[in-house]
Amino acid sequence: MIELFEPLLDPARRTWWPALLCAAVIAALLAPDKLFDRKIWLHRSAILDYQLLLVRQLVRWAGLVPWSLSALAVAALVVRSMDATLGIPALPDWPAWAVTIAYTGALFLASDLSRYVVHRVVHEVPMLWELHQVHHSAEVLTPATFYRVHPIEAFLFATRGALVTGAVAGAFFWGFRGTAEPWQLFGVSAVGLVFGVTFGNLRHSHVWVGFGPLLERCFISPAQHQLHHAEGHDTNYGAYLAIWDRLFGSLQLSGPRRELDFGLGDMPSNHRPDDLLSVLIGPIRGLVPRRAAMGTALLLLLVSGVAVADDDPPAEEPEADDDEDDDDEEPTPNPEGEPVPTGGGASSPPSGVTESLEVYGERPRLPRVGGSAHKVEEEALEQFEHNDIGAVLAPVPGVYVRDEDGYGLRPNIGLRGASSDRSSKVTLTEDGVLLAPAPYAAPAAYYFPLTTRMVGVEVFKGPAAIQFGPNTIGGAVNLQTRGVPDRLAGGLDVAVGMDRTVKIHGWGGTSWGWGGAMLEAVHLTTDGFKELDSGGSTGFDKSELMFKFRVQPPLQGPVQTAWQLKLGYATERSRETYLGLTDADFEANPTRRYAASERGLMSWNRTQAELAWTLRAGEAFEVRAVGYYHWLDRSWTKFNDFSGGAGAATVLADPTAGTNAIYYGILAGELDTSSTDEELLIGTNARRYHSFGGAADARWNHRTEKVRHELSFGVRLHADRVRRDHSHERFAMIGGALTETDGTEHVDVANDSFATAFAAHLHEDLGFGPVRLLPGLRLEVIHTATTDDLGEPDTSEDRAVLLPGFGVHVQPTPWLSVLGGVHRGFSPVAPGQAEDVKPESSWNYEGGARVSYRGFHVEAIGFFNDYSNLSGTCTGSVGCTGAEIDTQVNAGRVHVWGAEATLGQGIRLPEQLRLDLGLTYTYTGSRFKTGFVSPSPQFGSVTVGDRLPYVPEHRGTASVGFDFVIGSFGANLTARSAMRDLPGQGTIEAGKRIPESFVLDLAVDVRISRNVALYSTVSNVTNSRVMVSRRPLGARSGRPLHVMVGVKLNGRGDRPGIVETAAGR
Amino acid sequence: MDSAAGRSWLLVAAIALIAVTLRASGCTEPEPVPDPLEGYDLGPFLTGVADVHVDAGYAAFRDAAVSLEGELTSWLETLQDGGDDAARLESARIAWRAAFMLWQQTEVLQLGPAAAPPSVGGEAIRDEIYSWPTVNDCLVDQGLVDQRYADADFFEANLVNAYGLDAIEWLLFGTLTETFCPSQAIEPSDWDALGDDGVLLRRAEYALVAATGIVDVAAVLHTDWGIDGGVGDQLASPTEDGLWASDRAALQGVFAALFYLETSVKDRKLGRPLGLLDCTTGDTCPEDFEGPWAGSAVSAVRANLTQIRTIAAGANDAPGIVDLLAHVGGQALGDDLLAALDEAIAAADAVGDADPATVLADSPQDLLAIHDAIKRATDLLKGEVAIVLALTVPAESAGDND
Repeated sequence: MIELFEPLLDPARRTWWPALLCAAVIAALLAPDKLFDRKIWLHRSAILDYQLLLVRQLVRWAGLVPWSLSALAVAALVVRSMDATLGIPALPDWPAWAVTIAYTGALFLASDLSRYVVHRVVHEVPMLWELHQVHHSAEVLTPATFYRVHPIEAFLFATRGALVTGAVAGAFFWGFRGTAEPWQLFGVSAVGLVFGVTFGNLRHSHVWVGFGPLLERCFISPAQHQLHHAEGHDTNYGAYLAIWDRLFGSLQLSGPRRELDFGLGDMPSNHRPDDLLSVLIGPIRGLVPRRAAMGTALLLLLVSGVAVADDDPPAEEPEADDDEDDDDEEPTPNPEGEPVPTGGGASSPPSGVTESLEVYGERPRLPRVGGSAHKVEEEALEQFEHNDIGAVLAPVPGVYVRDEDGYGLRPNIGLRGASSDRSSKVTLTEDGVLLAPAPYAAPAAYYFPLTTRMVGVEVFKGPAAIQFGPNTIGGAVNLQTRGVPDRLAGGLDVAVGMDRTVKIHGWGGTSWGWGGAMLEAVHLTTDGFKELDSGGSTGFDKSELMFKFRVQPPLQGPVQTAWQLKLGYATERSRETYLGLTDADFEANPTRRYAASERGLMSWNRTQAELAWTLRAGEAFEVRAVGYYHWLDRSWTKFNDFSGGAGAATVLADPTAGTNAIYYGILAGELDTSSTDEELLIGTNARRYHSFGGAADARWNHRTEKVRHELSFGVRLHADRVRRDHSHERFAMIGGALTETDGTEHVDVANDSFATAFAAHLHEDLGFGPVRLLPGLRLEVIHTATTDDLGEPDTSEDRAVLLPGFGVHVQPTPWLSVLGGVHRGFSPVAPGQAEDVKPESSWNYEGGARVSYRGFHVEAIGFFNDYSNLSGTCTGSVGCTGAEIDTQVNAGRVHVWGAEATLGQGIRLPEQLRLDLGLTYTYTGSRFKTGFVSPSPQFGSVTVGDRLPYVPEHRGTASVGFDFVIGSFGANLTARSAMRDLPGQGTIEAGKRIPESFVLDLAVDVRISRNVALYSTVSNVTNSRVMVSRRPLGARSGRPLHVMVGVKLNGRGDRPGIVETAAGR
Repeated sequence: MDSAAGRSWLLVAAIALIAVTLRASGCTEPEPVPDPLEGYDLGPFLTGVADVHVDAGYAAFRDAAVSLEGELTSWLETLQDGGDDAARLESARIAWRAAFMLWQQTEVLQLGPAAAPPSVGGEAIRDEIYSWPTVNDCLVDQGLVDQRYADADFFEANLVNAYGLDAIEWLLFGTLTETFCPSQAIEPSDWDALGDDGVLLRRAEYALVAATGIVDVAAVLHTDWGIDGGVGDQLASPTEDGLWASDRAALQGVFAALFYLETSVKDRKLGRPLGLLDCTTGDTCPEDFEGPWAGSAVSAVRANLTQIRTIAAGANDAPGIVDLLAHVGGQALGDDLLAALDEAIAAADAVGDADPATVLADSPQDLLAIHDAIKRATDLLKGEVAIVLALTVPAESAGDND
């Protein structure tokens, strides 16, 4: 059905909505009476325009597109012919920008000149005028008049477009061997797009816009085109440039403004301009004998029906030079101005009194959040004491976290169908500062902090990403750390659990007249729930330390400033592997680990230093700035693959077929290695990441009697780098244990990737009455480079992208709000990729409504993401090996759509009791619109219509929370439908299916005194067998039943377990 | 509303009704995605692959396997009669080489059941016939000692490296009376107790059992491929509910299979012994040559190359890959591909039947020449071919009257 709305949604169309909007704004400023004149919009001639447009779209939607000349076919023919006659040329040594300018210019000039020529021909050749007069028969001009074209004439112009565009594209393809790229915006030739968006629709309007005598000799103004419709029809044939009219003597300057009469009046060739049948059949009747008219008309209409299709869509969506993160929709407040609760109970308002100035990143955005943004409040975090971000985000609709290890050590977070792999399509921040090890050069989240020390998790989906970047396809997740308390406060949480799990979490801090300080530490250790065939621990040890020091001079009058230094250190040693199980072994014992994985060990340490500054001038103006430096050292030793054979993934998928049975036996320690091909490659991927930069945000509020607005502007200068040293050693399986063979470290990868990025965003929140308009813009300028120690060529690339967006929020009543928005999504190309790799880009749409009334809250949001290019990164976690690691692949056009619903009800009961009920549900549909074969195992061979892998179609949670005087009880059920391991459609094959899952978690806490509480959490109460992934090497299990019991001590606060975060809401 | 306007809206309604009906009934196809091979009939190419290359190859191999079985029977009977088996042994070796070379031609296009999962329709039947490089000569000797080859369920109960062409190679060309196993794997007394004659006799018995197994598998492979509606038909004329849902999917399957040229021929058969890839025992790894006992490494490579060249160029009126490339403007690319393959074949001819290990030691550049020519071919397949098939045209912005 989306094809019916294509004229509004397709940037290649004159009636693309930004173009209509631009025309409306100009018309409102210059001639508002014309903009709202019913006589024009409801004129019989205008009605026919709408009818023709509707018929056109219906024909396209019905697929009645019998044949059209394909620009692609023309291009291919041109390439073949030039190859045959001129041979294959050497690649010219032109800089890329020069090629782009030449290609763009050639396309534009060829297009514009050919339009002039064909337009003039259809005026001057009587037979063709029969067709073209349909367009000129319009008695009023509206943007829909653009589509008032006889289908046969549309076919002629479409043919023109295919010939011209195909010829130029073919010539440039031949000359530059596929490396030439024109400048495009939103997938369309940029120069023409700019002309079309700014003044295109005014050409068919009653709004007089002249450019003046000087400019009108260069560019055709709307007034000049209106003259073309009104006075003689023999001037101003040009599309955008006036130079052809000047050259060939058909130029007419607009002169003074005057009223014009449009249409053909009594001209004999004027068919009934309000009769659809007359308009379609009449011109043909004029060309052929009456009897043949109907048959001829049908035949020609069928043949030309496709012309309604205009030019061919590109075979691949063109790279988006200026595609950038969307961002315009600042989260909007819900009716009661409170954060949107997630399933799991209503959120409580921030506690405590503060006179502190929130420093960078600590002030939650969510009091202003509405639309598709959620916050998991501190209370919910404390209740279940999840250490795993996947469990924390489970109640947030639209979010899917693909587990790997059962502990959330390396979460794969995806929002609204965006790839979840290593959370690399989501902008991760901690207190507003980029969190990923190298957000531009290598965004894969191999580091993730322990959620247990967070006091809030914000999720911004879709349009809210204007303030974040670079990855904004799905949205952003911001973790909020504890702030410096306003007064002496502290807490201690000690818990023990199954698998010898121990957690110790403590914090303490205080403030004084001009500042404050806080120290927090967490240590979590476990033996792990998996059982290694050869024995040994499969668990981890993880420790984190954070120190904050704040300086805030006493109140300084209307202007207040504050500084904060944040230092952090974290370390992890986890005996993790990518090696999973065959289906049969998973069925027998899902927590088994093969002997071949016994050497798996990830160890990393991370240091962070951030200095932040805030200035506030009253309520109207605020500036926040931060400088940061993060560095991460990680090394992961694990089984990579066999030296020979079909590969471990293939072996595990079918462990009985042919030689797979031999390799499987070796994996499981049941057979010995007997040849070099059967040796196991145990790799160590060592990487060092540096990420540093500075960011500043300014916010200005202004309010008048009728209008209120907030303008925010932010800039960030960022640099990051990753050094990769990957190697492997060879082992043999002997007697069920790994034995080193040659004792040599073989180097696989030794390179550096760099990225420097400048980002800026501008966002306006304009409110009048119940309506808020939220336009926004984001700019990303990115430079990436790679150097290689093993002989691969160095690379360098520069890219600048501009991302617009727009949101609307209407609150007609205090309890009801309706919202909608559209924005451009973007995810950059990692350094060192092949030339044909494009950034991920999309247009994202959302709309919905929210009702909040007396503790009852319901929200429903629909979304649609139109990816012009989905991309994937070939990581070890999806099954890539060797030199393919960290390469990026295109996945073509994809549509993702869905609905998110949240329902919550808080019920206050007598005797200070409270019951909170919550439900969330997410439906996600997806479809590949292009078929391809990808070198990345995460895609493989994709057919049009395939669904995305690892995106569950249905996901939901149901939660119950019960607060009683001395404690609380909570239950949370998370359910997910089955998923695919690979793109596909229809029934999911057994070997590619990740079965549905239902997991129930319980939590209870009891206060035994004002400052002491006992608590227990039971995860996966029913010990449900959950398969979380089949990638990269076989089936892997989520965590089985796990029980923890602990005690919390709190040095402040009325309610143990609810830690005061006066300065860190 | 006057009659003209009313008539117009009726017409719109009628068109809408037709559109809804057509769309709902699935009678109309959505607008096709532009395809560089648009307008090119892949049928002849796919039929050529199915019939000319694969089916004929299976048939020829099956016949050669039957011949091998016959020669091994004769060798065994001679040994049982106590006669001079030298001539029979030599005949068996010749028959093995013939079958081996035919299989080398066949296995460059592992499609359907011959391919390993998760290839479309893959059942790893190839491994049942020939499991190289996953070979285990010591395992064969262990089987010789305990005579597991005589068990009724020998093929079901044992892994693929216990039988097949690779096992027969060891049995026919190996050290014959000496075992490959260390003393931990076979008790020397158990081996010695057999005596040389006993060992030879058991080698013949074992080889015959393995050859019979190959004949059975080859027959099934050929039958499954060639019957009406079989795998071959599904490749030649893909249907939505077949193994390959479309011509394009079948073409992709063929191209994917042809990357045998890179992964097996270039990297494993040549790259590893030359020390270019994963060679851990020294600068070169002569022990990793294919067919070490028969000395057939380079012959095998030549057989692979010859078949791939035939597929690329086309044969028996069936178009080849170069014809596809020519349609999308890659005529010169097709010529370059054939030239690279010809160069590799010529380099293999230059080595001829010389012992590969000796060539590796004395003149490695001769083997490197084969490797480098193959690399040029595979680089073309991976690089330029991808570019040519990825030809794109940017979208024009809207203009009046378009």
